[in-house]
Amino acid sequence: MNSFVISINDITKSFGNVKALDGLSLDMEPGILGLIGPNGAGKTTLLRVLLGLIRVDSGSAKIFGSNTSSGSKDFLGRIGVLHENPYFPPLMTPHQYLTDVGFLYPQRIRTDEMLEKVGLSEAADRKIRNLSAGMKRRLGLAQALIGRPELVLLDEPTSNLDIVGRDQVLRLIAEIHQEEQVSFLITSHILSEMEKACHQIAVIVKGKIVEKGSVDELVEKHTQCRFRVMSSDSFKLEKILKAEDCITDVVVDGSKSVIIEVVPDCVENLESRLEALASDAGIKFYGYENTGTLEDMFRRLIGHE
Amino acid sequence: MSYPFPTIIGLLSLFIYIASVSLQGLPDHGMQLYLPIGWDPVVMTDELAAAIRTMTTRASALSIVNSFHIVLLLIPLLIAFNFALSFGNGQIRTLVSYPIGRGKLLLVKSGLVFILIATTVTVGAITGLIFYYPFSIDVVVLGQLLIPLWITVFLMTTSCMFIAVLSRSAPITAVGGIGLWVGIYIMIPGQSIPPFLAYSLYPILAAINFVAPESPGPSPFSYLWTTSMTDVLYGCGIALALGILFLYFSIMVFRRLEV
Repeated sequence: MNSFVISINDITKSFGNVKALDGLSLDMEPGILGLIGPNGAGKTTLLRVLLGLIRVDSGSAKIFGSNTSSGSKDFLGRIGVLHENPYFPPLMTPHQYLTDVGFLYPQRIRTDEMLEKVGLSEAADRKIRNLSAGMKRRLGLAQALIGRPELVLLDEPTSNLDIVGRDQVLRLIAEIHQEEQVSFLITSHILSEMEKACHQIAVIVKGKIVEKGSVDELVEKHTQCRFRVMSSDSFKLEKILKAEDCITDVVVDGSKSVIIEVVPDCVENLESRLEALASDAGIKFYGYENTGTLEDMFRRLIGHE
Repeated sequence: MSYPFPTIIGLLSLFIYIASVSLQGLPDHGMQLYLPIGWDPVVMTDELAAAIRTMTTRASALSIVNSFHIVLLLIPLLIAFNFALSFGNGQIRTLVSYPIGRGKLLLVKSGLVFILIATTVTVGAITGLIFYYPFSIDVVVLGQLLIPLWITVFLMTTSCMFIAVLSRSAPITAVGGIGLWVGIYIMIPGQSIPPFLAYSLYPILAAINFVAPESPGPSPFSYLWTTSMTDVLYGCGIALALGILFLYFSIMVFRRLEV
Protein backbone atom coordinates (compact mmCIF):
# COMPACT_ATOMS: atom_id res chain seq x y z
CA MET A 1 0.00 0.00 0.00
CA ASN A 2 1.32 3.41 -1.00
CA SER A 3 2.12 5.30 2.19
CA PHE A 4 3.06 8.50 0.39
CA VAL A 5 0.81 11.49 0.93
CA ILE A 6 1.97 13.04 -2.34
CA SER A 7 3.40 11.10 -5.21
CA ILE A 8 4.73 13.00 -8.22
CA ASN A 9 6.24 11.17 -11.14
CA ASP A 10 8.24 12.90 -13.86
CA ILE A 11 5.91 15.84 -14.49
CA THR A 12 6.63 18.52 -17.05
CA LYS A 13 4.75 21.74 -17.58
CA SER A 14 5.53 24.56 -19.97
CA PHE A 15 3.97 27.97 -20.37
CA GLY A 16 4.79 28.91 -23.94
CA ASN A 17 8.59 28.71 -24.23
CA VAL A 18 9.14 28.66 -20.48
CA LYS A 19 9.56 25.24 -18.92
CA ALA A 20 8.22 25.64 -15.41
CA LEU A 21 8.47 21.97 -14.39
CA ASP A 22 11.02 19.74 -16.04
CA GLY A 23 10.73 16.06 -15.24
CA LEU A 24 10.00 16.68 -11.56
CA SER A 25 9.55 13.70 -9.26
CA LEU A 26 8.83 13.82 -5.56
CA ASP A 27 7.38 11.53 -2.93
CA MET A 28 6.21 12.99 0.35
CA GLU A 29 5.80 10.90 3.47
CA PRO A 30 3.49 12.04 6.29
CA GLY A 31 5.12 14.95 8.14
CA ILE A 32 6.14 18.53 7.41
CA LEU A 33 7.92 19.00 4.10
CA GLY A 34 9.47 22.32 3.17
CA LEU A 35 9.84 23.18 -0.50
CA ILE A 36 12.55 25.76 -1.13
CA GLY A 37 13.99 27.21 -4.30
CA PRO A 38 14.93 30.47 -5.97
CA ASN A 39 12.34 32.73 -7.56
CA GLY A 40 10.88 31.16 -10.67
CA ALA A 41 12.00 27.66 -9.72
CA GLY A 42 8.47 26.25 -10.01
CA LYS A 43 7.25 26.08 -6.40
CA THR A 44 3.92 27.78 -6.96
CA THR A 45 3.44 25.96 -10.28
CA LEU A 46 3.92 22.68 -8.45
CA LEU A 47 1.30 23.63 -5.88
CA ARG A 48 -1.15 24.54 -8.63
CA VAL A 49 -0.55 21.16 -10.28
CA LEU A 50 -1.22 19.40 -6.97
CA LEU A 51 -4.50 21.27 -6.60
CA GLY A 52 -5.60 20.44 -10.13
CA LEU A 53 -5.65 24.14 -11.06
CA ILE A 54 -3.41 23.49 -14.05
CA ARG A 55 -2.79 20.37 -16.14
CA VAL A 56 0.66 18.92 -16.71
CA ASP A 57 2.06 18.22 -20.17
CA SER A 58 3.29 14.79 -19.09
CA GLY A 59 3.72 12.71 -15.96
CA SER A 60 1.38 12.25 -13.04
CA ALA A 61 0.74 13.84 -9.67
CA LYS A 62 -1.26 12.06 -6.99
CA ILE A 63 -2.54 13.04 -3.58
CA PHE A 64 -3.70 10.14 -1.43
CA GLY A 65 -3.60 8.01 -4.54
CA SER A 66 -5.98 10.25 -6.54
CA ASN A 67 -4.70 11.72 -9.77
CA THR A 68 -4.94 15.49 -9.41
CA SER A 69 -5.55 16.17 -13.08
CA SER A 70 -8.24 13.58 -13.66
CA GLY A 71 -11.03 16.00 -12.86
CA SER A 72 -12.01 14.06 -9.75
CA LYS A 73 -12.27 16.27 -6.70
CA ASP A 74 -12.27 13.50 -4.10
CA PHE A 75 -8.90 14.55 -2.73
CA LEU A 76 -9.91 18.22 -2.33
CA GLY A 77 -12.14 17.22 0.59
CA ARG A 78 -9.09 15.83 2.37
CA ILE A 79 -6.75 18.78 1.91
CA GLY A 80 -6.60 22.40 2.91
CA VAL A 81 -4.87 25.19 1.02
CA LEU A 82 -3.49 28.61 1.80
CA HIS A 83 -2.48 30.43 -1.38
CA GLU A 84 0.20 33.11 -1.33
CA ASN A 85 -2.31 35.91 -1.96
CA PRO A 86 -5.62 34.47 -0.84
CA TYR A 87 -8.90 36.20 -1.50
CA PHE A 88 -11.25 36.83 1.40
CA PRO A 89 -14.65 38.50 0.97
CA PRO A 90 -14.01 41.90 2.57
CA LEU A 91 -17.48 42.46 3.98
CA MET A 92 -17.81 39.12 5.74
CA THR A 93 -16.59 38.44 9.24
CA PRO A 94 -14.12 35.64 10.04
CA HIS A 95 -16.91 33.77 11.81
CA GLN A 96 -19.25 33.92 8.81
CA TYR A 97 -16.49 33.06 6.36
CA LEU A 98 -15.18 30.07 8.29
CA THR A 99 -18.69 28.75 8.86
CA ASP A 100 -19.40 28.90 5.11
CA VAL A 101 -16.10 27.23 4.23
CA GLY A 102 -16.65 24.57 6.87
CA PHE A 103 -19.94 23.52 5.28
CA LEU A 104 -18.08 22.58 2.10
CA TYR A 105 -16.27 19.72 3.84
CA PRO A 106 -17.68 16.37 4.97
CA GLN A 107 -16.16 16.87 8.42
CA ARG A 108 -15.34 20.16 10.04
CA ILE A 109 -14.07 21.73 13.21
CA ARG A 110 -16.48 24.03 15.04
CA THR A 111 -15.97 27.63 13.94
CA ASP A 112 -15.50 29.00 17.46
CA GLU A 113 -12.96 26.30 18.23
CA MET A 114 -11.01 27.08 15.06
CA LEU A 115 -11.03 30.81 15.74
CA GLU A 116 -9.69 30.19 19.22
CA LYS A 117 -6.98 27.90 17.88
CA VAL A 118 -5.66 30.60 15.55
CA GLY A 119 -6.10 33.42 18.04
CA LEU A 120 -8.92 35.23 16.24
CA SER A 121 -11.71 34.85 18.81
CA GLU A 122 -11.73 38.53 19.62
CA ALA A 123 -11.85 39.53 15.96
CA ALA A 124 -14.49 36.96 15.04
CA ASP A 125 -17.18 39.54 14.30
CA ARG A 126 -14.98 42.20 12.75
CA LYS A 127 -15.19 42.69 8.98
CA ILE A 128 -12.33 40.97 7.17
CA ARG A 129 -11.26 44.19 5.44
CA ASN A 130 -10.51 45.63 8.90
CA LEU A 131 -8.15 42.81 9.92
CA SER A 132 -4.38 43.30 9.98
CA ALA A 133 -2.08 41.36 7.64
CA GLY A 134 -1.16 38.96 10.43
CA MET A 135 -4.79 38.33 11.29
CA LYS A 136 -5.61 37.65 7.65
CA ARG A 137 -2.79 35.14 7.48
CA ARG A 138 -4.16 33.38 10.55
CA LEU A 139 -7.61 33.44 9.01
CA GLY A 140 -6.09 31.86 5.91
CA LEU A 141 -4.61 29.13 8.05
CA ALA A 142 -7.95 28.65 9.77
CA GLN A 143 -9.84 28.22 6.50
CA ALA A 144 -7.21 25.68 5.40
CA LEU A 145 -7.70 23.67 8.61
CA ILE A 146 -11.43 23.95 9.26
CA GLY A 147 -12.30 20.95 7.10
CA ARG A 148 -10.17 18.55 9.23
CA PRO A 149 -7.74 17.96 6.36
CA GLU A 150 -5.12 15.27 6.31
CA LEU A 151 -2.77 17.41 4.24
CA VAL A 152 -2.35 21.20 4.11
CA LEU A 153 -0.58 23.06 1.32
CA LEU A 154 0.85 26.42 2.43
CA ASP A 155 2.31 28.83 -0.10
CA GLU A 156 4.50 31.38 1.72
CA PRO A 157 2.46 31.23 4.93
CA THR A 158 4.61 33.76 6.78
CA SER A 159 5.08 36.39 4.09
CA ASN A 160 4.08 39.94 5.13
CA LEU A 161 4.28 38.98 8.80
CA ASP A 162 6.51 40.46 11.46
CA ILE A 163 8.70 38.19 13.54
CA VAL A 164 6.06 37.70 16.23
CA GLY A 165 3.45 36.80 13.63
CA ARG A 166 5.79 34.36 11.92
CA ASP A 167 6.59 32.63 15.20
CA GLN A 168 2.88 32.30 15.96
CA VAL A 169 2.14 30.70 12.59
CA LEU A 170 5.03 28.27 12.83
CA ARG A 171 4.09 27.30 16.37
CA LEU A 172 0.54 26.68 15.22
CA ILE A 173 1.72 24.45 12.40
CA ALA A 174 3.85 22.41 14.77
CA GLU A 175 1.01 22.09 17.30
CA ILE A 176 -1.52 20.99 14.73
CA HIS A 177 0.85 18.47 13.27
CA GLN A 178 1.52 17.10 16.71
CA GLU A 179 -2.12 16.99 17.85
CA GLU A 180 -3.96 16.10 14.68
CA GLN A 181 -1.24 14.28 12.68
CA VAL A 182 -1.86 16.65 9.76
CA SER A 183 0.87 16.72 7.11
CA PHE A 184 2.07 20.04 5.73
CA LEU A 185 3.76 21.01 2.48
CA ILE A 186 5.19 24.50 2.93
CA THR A 187 6.89 26.75 0.42
CA SER A 188 8.88 29.65 1.79
CA HIS A 189 11.83 31.92 1.14
CA ILE A 190 12.63 32.27 4.82
CA LEU A 191 15.07 29.40 5.20
CA SER A 192 15.74 29.92 8.91
CA GLU A 193 12.07 29.20 9.58
CA MET A 194 12.00 26.16 7.34
CA GLU A 195 15.01 24.86 9.18
CA LYS A 196 13.11 25.04 12.47
CA ALA A 197 9.68 23.94 11.28
CA CYS A 198 10.25 21.18 8.72
CA HIS A 199 11.12 17.53 9.10
CA GLN A 200 12.23 17.25 5.51
CA ILE A 201 13.36 19.74 2.88
CA ALA A 202 13.09 19.44 -0.90
CA VAL A 203 15.07 21.88 -3.04
CA ILE A 204 13.60 22.79 -6.41
CA VAL A 205 15.71 24.48 -9.05
CA LYS A 206 14.61 25.16 -12.65
CA GLY A 207 11.61 22.87 -12.34
CA LYS A 208 13.48 19.89 -10.90
CA ILE A 209 13.99 18.52 -7.40
CA VAL A 210 17.76 18.63 -6.90
CA GLU A 211 17.86 17.54 -3.27
CA LYS A 212 15.61 16.03 -0.67
CA GLY A 213 16.23 14.92 2.86
CA SER A 214 16.17 15.97 6.49
CA VAL A 215 17.67 19.36 7.35
CA ASP A 216 20.62 17.77 9.18
CA GLU A 217 21.40 15.40 6.32
CA LEU A 218 21.37 18.12 3.70
CA VAL A 219 23.36 20.62 5.74
CA GLU A 220 26.01 18.06 6.60
CA LYS A 221 26.23 16.84 3.02
CA HIS A 222 26.66 20.26 1.44
CA THR A 223 28.52 22.36 3.99
CA GLN A 224 31.35 20.18 5.36
CA CYS A 225 33.89 22.24 3.46
CA ARG A 226 32.25 25.58 4.18
CA PHE A 227 33.65 27.92 6.78
CA ARG A 228 33.10 31.39 8.17
CA VAL A 229 36.37 33.34 8.55
CA MET A 230 36.41 36.31 10.93
CA SER A 231 38.93 39.08 10.34
CA SER A 232 39.40 42.82 10.66
CA ASP A 233 38.78 43.51 6.94
CA SER A 234 36.58 41.06 5.09
CA PHE A 235 36.77 42.86 1.73
CA LYS A 236 40.56 42.80 1.66
CA LEU A 237 40.54 39.20 2.77
CA GLU A 238 38.08 38.28 0.06
CA LYS A 239 40.45 39.57 -2.64
CA ILE A 240 43.33 37.55 -1.23
CA LEU A 241 41.34 34.34 -0.82
CA LYS A 242 39.94 34.48 -4.34
CA ALA A 243 43.47 34.07 -5.67
CA GLU A 244 44.04 30.87 -3.69
CA ASP A 245 43.68 27.54 -5.57
CA CYS A 246 42.46 25.71 -2.47
CA ILE A 247 39.49 27.98 -2.13
CA THR A 248 36.65 27.39 -4.57
CA ASP A 249 34.19 30.03 -3.37
CA VAL A 250 34.38 33.27 -1.37
CA VAL A 251 31.40 35.39 -0.30
CA VAL A 252 31.61 38.47 1.92
CA ASP A 253 29.25 38.11 4.87
CA GLY A 254 29.41 41.49 6.61
CA SER A 255 32.36 43.77 7.32
CA LYS A 256 34.12 41.26 9.54
CA SER A 257 33.56 37.86 8.01
CA VAL A 258 33.66 35.94 4.76
CA ILE A 259 32.21 32.55 3.90
CA ILE A 260 34.60 30.30 2.04
CA GLU A 261 34.43 26.88 0.50
CA VAL A 262 37.63 24.89 0.31
CA VAL A 263 38.63 21.72 -1.50
CA PRO A 264 38.50 18.79 0.94
CA ASP A 265 42.28 18.25 0.82
CA CYS A 266 42.92 21.74 2.21
CA VAL A 267 40.71 21.49 5.27
CA GLU A 268 43.44 19.99 7.49
CA ASN A 269 45.89 22.91 7.27
CA LEU A 270 43.28 25.58 6.82
CA GLU A 271 43.91 27.53 10.03
CA SER A 272 47.63 28.01 9.53
CA ARG A 273 47.06 28.92 5.90
CA LEU A 274 44.50 31.56 6.77
CA GLU A 275 46.70 33.03 9.52
CA ALA A 276 49.60 33.35 7.08
CA LEU A 277 47.49 34.98 4.35
CA ALA A 278 45.96 37.48 6.75
CA SER A 279 49.33 38.35 8.27
CA ASP A 280 50.89 38.96 4.81
CA ALA A 281 48.02 41.33 3.97
CA GLY A 282 48.25 43.22 7.26
CA ILE A 283 44.81 41.99 8.41
CA LYS A 284 43.96 40.66 11.87
CA PHE A 285 42.73 37.06 11.75
CA TYR A 286 40.20 36.31 14.53
CA GLY A 287 39.37 32.70 13.78
CA TYR A 288 37.07 30.49 11.70
CA GLU A 289 34.19 28.07 12.20
CA ASN A 290 32.32 25.48 10.20
CA THR A 291 29.06 26.93 8.88
CA GLY A 292 26.11 24.59 8.68
CA THR A 293 22.83 26.33 8.03
CA LEU A 294 20.17 25.67 5.48
CA GLU A 295 20.99 29.02 3.93
CA ASP A 296 24.59 28.02 3.34
CA MET A 297 23.46 24.73 1.83
CA PHE A 298 20.97 26.57 -0.36
CA ARG A 299 23.56 29.08 -1.53
CA ARG A 300 25.92 26.30 -2.43
CA LEU A 301 23.31 24.34 -4.32
CA ILE A 302 22.05 27.35 -6.23
CA GLY A 303 25.54 28.48 -7.04
CA HIS A 304 26.37 25.07 -8.53
CA GLU A 305 23.11 24.84 -10.46
CA MET B 1 -20.98 29.86 -0.32
CA SER B 2 -22.46 33.24 0.38
CA TYR B 3 -20.77 36.31 -0.91
CA PRO B 4 -22.32 39.66 -0.28
CA PHE B 5 -23.88 41.33 -3.27
CA PRO B 6 -24.91 44.97 -3.11
CA THR B 7 -26.16 45.94 0.30
CA ILE B 8 -29.83 46.11 1.17
CA ILE B 9 -29.76 49.84 0.57
CA GLY B 10 -28.23 49.37 -2.85
CA LEU B 11 -30.88 46.83 -3.81
CA LEU B 12 -33.64 49.07 -2.56
CA SER B 13 -32.18 51.92 -4.59
CA LEU B 14 -32.11 49.71 -7.66
CA PHE B 15 -35.76 48.72 -7.19
CA ILE B 16 -36.82 52.32 -6.75
CA TYR B 17 -34.81 53.37 -9.79
CA ILE B 18 -36.25 50.64 -11.99
CA ALA B 19 -39.75 51.34 -10.68
CA SER B 20 -39.28 55.01 -11.55
CA VAL B 21 -37.88 54.27 -14.99
CA SER B 22 -40.68 51.83 -15.64
CA LEU B 23 -43.12 54.76 -15.34
CA GLN B 24 -41.54 56.61 -18.25
CA GLY B 25 -44.06 57.34 -20.91
CA LEU B 26 -47.02 56.22 -18.81
CA PRO B 27 -48.79 59.58 -18.77
CA ASP B 28 -48.61 59.77 -22.58
CA HIS B 29 -49.19 56.14 -23.54
CA GLY B 30 -50.31 54.20 -20.53
CA MET B 31 -52.95 56.46 -19.12
CA GLN B 32 -54.97 57.38 -22.15
CA LEU B 33 -58.46 56.07 -21.66
CA TYR B 34 -60.17 55.87 -25.04
CA LEU B 35 -63.94 55.56 -24.98
CA PRO B 36 -66.34 55.22 -27.96
CA ILE B 37 -68.20 58.34 -29.10
CA GLY B 38 -71.64 58.71 -27.57
CA TRP B 39 -70.88 56.48 -24.66
CA ASP B 40 -73.14 57.04 -21.66
CA PRO B 41 -70.89 57.43 -18.60
CA VAL B 42 -73.76 56.86 -16.21
CA VAL B 43 -74.25 53.30 -17.28
CA MET B 44 -71.40 50.80 -16.54
CA THR B 45 -70.67 49.07 -19.81
CA ASP B 46 -68.36 46.46 -21.18
CA GLU B 47 -66.63 49.18 -23.22
CA LEU B 48 -65.41 50.86 -20.04
CA ALA B 49 -64.02 47.63 -18.66
CA ALA B 50 -62.33 46.86 -21.98
CA ALA B 51 -60.84 50.36 -22.15
CA ILE B 52 -59.37 50.00 -18.68
CA ARG B 53 -57.94 46.59 -19.58
CA THR B 54 -56.33 48.06 -22.69
CA MET B 55 -54.85 50.88 -20.65
CA THR B 56 -53.39 48.61 -18.02
CA THR B 57 -52.06 46.23 -20.68
CA ARG B 58 -50.23 49.04 -22.46
CA ALA B 59 -48.97 50.33 -19.14
CA SER B 60 -47.68 46.88 -18.22
CA ALA B 61 -45.94 46.54 -21.57
CA LEU B 62 -44.40 49.98 -21.30
CA SER B 63 -43.24 49.36 -17.76
CA ILE B 64 -41.61 46.05 -18.73
CA VAL B 65 -39.85 47.46 -21.81
CA ASN B 66 -38.47 50.36 -19.79
CA SER B 67 -37.06 47.89 -17.27
CA PHE B 68 -35.64 45.80 -20.07
CA HIS B 69 -33.61 48.74 -21.35
CA ILE B 70 -31.76 48.84 -18.06
CA VAL B 71 -31.16 45.10 -18.11
CA LEU B 72 -29.32 45.44 -21.44
CA LEU B 73 -26.56 47.32 -19.58
CA LEU B 74 -26.89 45.79 -16.13
CA ILE B 75 -26.31 42.12 -16.94
CA PRO B 76 -22.96 42.48 -18.77
CA LEU B 77 -21.69 44.88 -16.12
CA LEU B 78 -22.77 42.66 -13.23
CA ILE B 79 -21.16 39.57 -14.72
CA ALA B 80 -18.02 41.51 -15.62
CA PHE B 81 -17.51 42.83 -12.10
CA ASN B 82 -18.91 39.92 -10.13
CA PHE B 83 -17.42 37.02 -12.09
CA ALA B 84 -14.81 38.05 -14.67
CA LEU B 85 -12.99 40.29 -12.20
CA SER B 86 -12.72 37.43 -9.73
CA PHE B 87 -10.19 35.67 -11.98
CA GLY B 88 -7.69 38.47 -11.39
CA ASN B 89 -8.21 39.01 -7.67
CA GLY B 90 -7.73 35.38 -6.70
CA GLN B 91 -11.33 34.62 -5.80
CA ILE B 92 -11.79 31.96 -8.48
CA ARG B 93 -8.48 30.33 -7.58
CA THR B 94 -9.56 30.20 -3.92
CA LEU B 95 -13.02 28.85 -4.75
CA VAL B 96 -11.86 26.06 -7.08
CA SER B 97 -9.42 24.92 -4.38
CA TYR B 98 -12.42 23.97 -2.23
CA PRO B 99 -14.31 20.68 -2.80
CA ILE B 100 -17.15 22.43 -4.65
CA GLY B 101 -16.87 21.39 -8.27
CA ARG B 102 -16.39 23.92 -11.04
CA GLY B 103 -19.70 23.17 -12.72
CA LYS B 104 -21.60 23.83 -9.53
CA LEU B 105 -19.64 27.00 -8.93
CA LEU B 106 -20.51 28.41 -12.34
CA LEU B 107 -24.17 27.41 -11.99
CA VAL B 108 -24.42 29.18 -8.66
CA LYS B 109 -22.71 32.33 -9.98
CA SER B 110 -24.96 32.44 -13.06
CA GLY B 111 -28.03 31.61 -11.01
CA LEU B 112 -27.41 34.39 -8.53
CA VAL B 113 -27.04 36.98 -11.29
CA PHE B 114 -30.17 35.70 -13.03
CA ILE B 115 -32.25 35.71 -9.85
CA LEU B 116 -31.04 39.16 -8.90
CA ILE B 117 -31.84 40.72 -12.27
CA ALA B 118 -35.10 38.84 -12.83
CA THR B 119 -36.35 39.73 -9.36
CA THR B 120 -35.25 43.34 -9.68
CA VAL B 121 -36.96 44.02 -13.00
CA THR B 122 -40.08 42.10 -11.98
CA VAL B 123 -40.51 43.84 -8.66
CA GLY B 124 -39.47 47.17 -10.14
CA ALA B 125 -42.00 46.96 -12.98
CA ILE B 126 -44.83 45.74 -10.73
CA THR B 127 -44.10 48.42 -8.15
CA GLY B 128 -44.50 51.07 -10.80
CA LEU B 129 -47.76 49.55 -12.00
CA ILE B 130 -49.20 49.16 -8.51
CA PHE B 131 -48.52 52.80 -7.89
CA TYR B 132 -50.72 53.83 -10.80
CA TYR B 133 -53.08 50.93 -11.15
CA PRO B 134 -53.78 49.40 -7.79
CA PHE B 135 -56.07 46.33 -7.90
CA SER B 136 -56.34 46.41 -11.69
CA ILE B 137 -53.29 44.57 -12.96
CA ASP B 138 -54.15 41.74 -15.34
CA VAL B 139 -52.23 38.70 -14.09
CA VAL B 140 -52.49 36.89 -17.44
CA VAL B 141 -50.99 39.85 -19.27
CA LEU B 142 -48.23 40.14 -16.70
CA GLY B 143 -47.48 36.45 -17.11
CA GLN B 144 -47.35 36.84 -20.90
CA LEU B 145 -44.80 39.59 -20.45
CA LEU B 146 -42.76 38.41 -17.48
CA ILE B 147 -42.03 34.86 -18.65
CA PRO B 148 -40.50 36.01 -21.97
CA LEU B 149 -38.65 38.70 -20.01
CA TRP B 150 -37.14 36.12 -17.69
CA ILE B 151 -36.15 33.97 -20.63
CA THR B 152 -34.50 36.96 -22.28
CA VAL B 153 -32.64 37.72 -19.05
CA PHE B 154 -31.57 34.06 -18.88
CA LEU B 155 -30.18 34.13 -22.41
CA MET B 156 -28.34 37.38 -21.79
CA THR B 157 -26.90 36.09 -18.49
CA THR B 158 -25.60 32.85 -19.93
CA SER B 159 -24.14 34.47 -23.04
CA CYS B 160 -22.31 37.09 -20.99
CA MET B 161 -21.10 34.35 -18.66
CA PHE B 162 -19.70 32.53 -21.71
CA ILE B 163 -17.83 35.67 -22.75
CA ALA B 164 -16.50 36.03 -19.19
CA VAL B 165 -15.24 32.44 -19.05
CA LEU B 166 -13.54 32.72 -22.44
CA SER B 167 -11.95 36.11 -21.84
CA ARG B 168 -11.42 36.07 -18.05
CA SER B 169 -11.40 39.82 -18.38
CA ALA B 170 -13.87 42.26 -16.85
CA PRO B 171 -13.46 44.97 -19.55
CA ILE B 172 -13.86 42.50 -22.40
CA THR B 173 -16.91 40.95 -20.76
CA ALA B 174 -18.53 44.33 -20.16
CA VAL B 175 -17.77 45.74 -23.60
CA GLY B 176 -18.48 42.46 -25.37
CA GLY B 177 -21.76 41.86 -23.59
CA ILE B 178 -23.03 45.39 -24.01
CA GLY B 179 -21.80 45.57 -27.60
CA LEU B 180 -23.51 42.30 -28.47
CA TRP B 181 -26.89 42.87 -26.87
CA VAL B 182 -27.25 46.61 -27.25
CA GLY B 183 -25.79 46.43 -30.74
CA ILE B 184 -28.35 43.90 -31.97
CA TYR B 185 -31.13 45.77 -30.20
CA ILE B 186 -30.23 48.99 -31.99
CA MET B 187 -30.51 47.24 -35.35
CA ILE B 188 -34.11 46.16 -34.72
CA PRO B 189 -35.87 49.50 -35.46
CA GLY B 190 -34.17 49.73 -38.83
CA GLN B 191 -35.38 46.18 -39.54
CA SER B 192 -31.85 45.16 -40.55
CA ILE B 193 -32.35 41.77 -38.97
CA PRO B 194 -35.10 39.27 -39.75
CA PRO B 195 -38.06 39.37 -37.35
CA PHE B 196 -37.66 35.72 -36.40
CA LEU B 197 -34.07 36.37 -35.27
CA ALA B 198 -35.16 39.41 -33.28
CA TYR B 199 -37.82 37.40 -31.43
CA SER B 200 -35.46 34.48 -30.82
CA LEU B 201 -32.88 36.74 -29.23
CA TYR B 202 -35.38 39.05 -27.53
CA PRO B 203 -38.57 37.07 -26.88
CA ILE B 204 -39.71 39.93 -24.66
CA LEU B 205 -40.15 42.07 -27.78
CA ALA B 206 -42.40 39.45 -29.39
CA ALA B 207 -44.42 39.31 -26.19
CA ILE B 208 -44.77 43.08 -25.98
CA ASN B 209 -45.85 43.34 -29.59
CA PHE B 210 -48.36 40.54 -29.09
CA VAL B 211 -49.80 41.97 -25.89
CA ALA B 212 -49.95 45.62 -26.95
CA PRO B 213 -49.84 45.72 -30.77
CA GLU B 214 -51.49 49.07 -31.36
CA SER B 215 -51.87 52.34 -29.65
CA PRO B 216 -53.13 55.67 -30.86
CA GLY B 217 -50.52 58.36 -31.32
CA PRO B 218 -46.74 57.84 -31.07
CA SER B 219 -45.90 54.43 -29.71
CA PRO B 220 -42.63 53.13 -28.35
CA PHE B 221 -43.33 49.84 -30.10
CA SER B 222 -44.04 51.25 -33.53
CA TYR B 223 -40.93 49.67 -35.00
CA LEU B 224 -41.98 46.15 -34.12
CA TRP B 225 -43.61 43.70 -36.46
CA THR B 226 -47.01 42.11 -35.86
CA THR B 227 -46.69 38.93 -33.87
CA SER B 228 -48.85 36.02 -32.77
CA MET B 229 -48.76 33.80 -29.71
CA THR B 230 -46.95 31.21 -31.83
CA ASP B 231 -44.15 33.72 -32.53
CA VAL B 232 -43.84 34.37 -28.82
CA LEU B 233 -43.70 30.66 -27.98
CA TYR B 234 -41.17 29.90 -30.72
CA GLY B 235 -39.05 32.86 -29.66
CA CYS B 236 -39.12 31.77 -26.02
CA GLY B 237 -38.28 28.18 -26.95
CA ILE B 238 -35.31 29.10 -29.10
CA ALA B 239 -34.02 31.65 -26.60
CA LEU B 240 -34.28 29.10 -23.79
CA ALA B 241 -32.44 26.49 -25.86
CA LEU B 242 -29.73 28.98 -26.77
CA GLY B 243 -29.38 29.98 -23.12
CA ILE B 244 -28.99 26.38 -22.04
CA LEU B 245 -26.37 25.82 -24.76
CA PHE B 246 -24.38 28.85 -23.60
CA LEU B 247 -24.55 27.59 -20.03
CA TYR B 248 -23.41 24.12 -21.06
CA PHE B 249 -20.44 25.41 -23.05
CA SER B 250 -19.52 27.83 -20.27
CA ILE B 251 -19.34 24.94 -17.81
CA MET B 252 -17.32 22.80 -20.25
CA VAL B 253 -14.79 25.58 -20.83
CA PHE B 254 -14.60 26.52 -17.15
CA ARG B 255 -13.90 22.91 -16.17
CA ARG B 256 -10.86 22.81 -18.41
CA LEU B 257 -9.62 26.29 -17.60
CA GLU B 258 -6.18 26.70 -16.01
CA VAL B 259 -6.53 28.99 -13.02
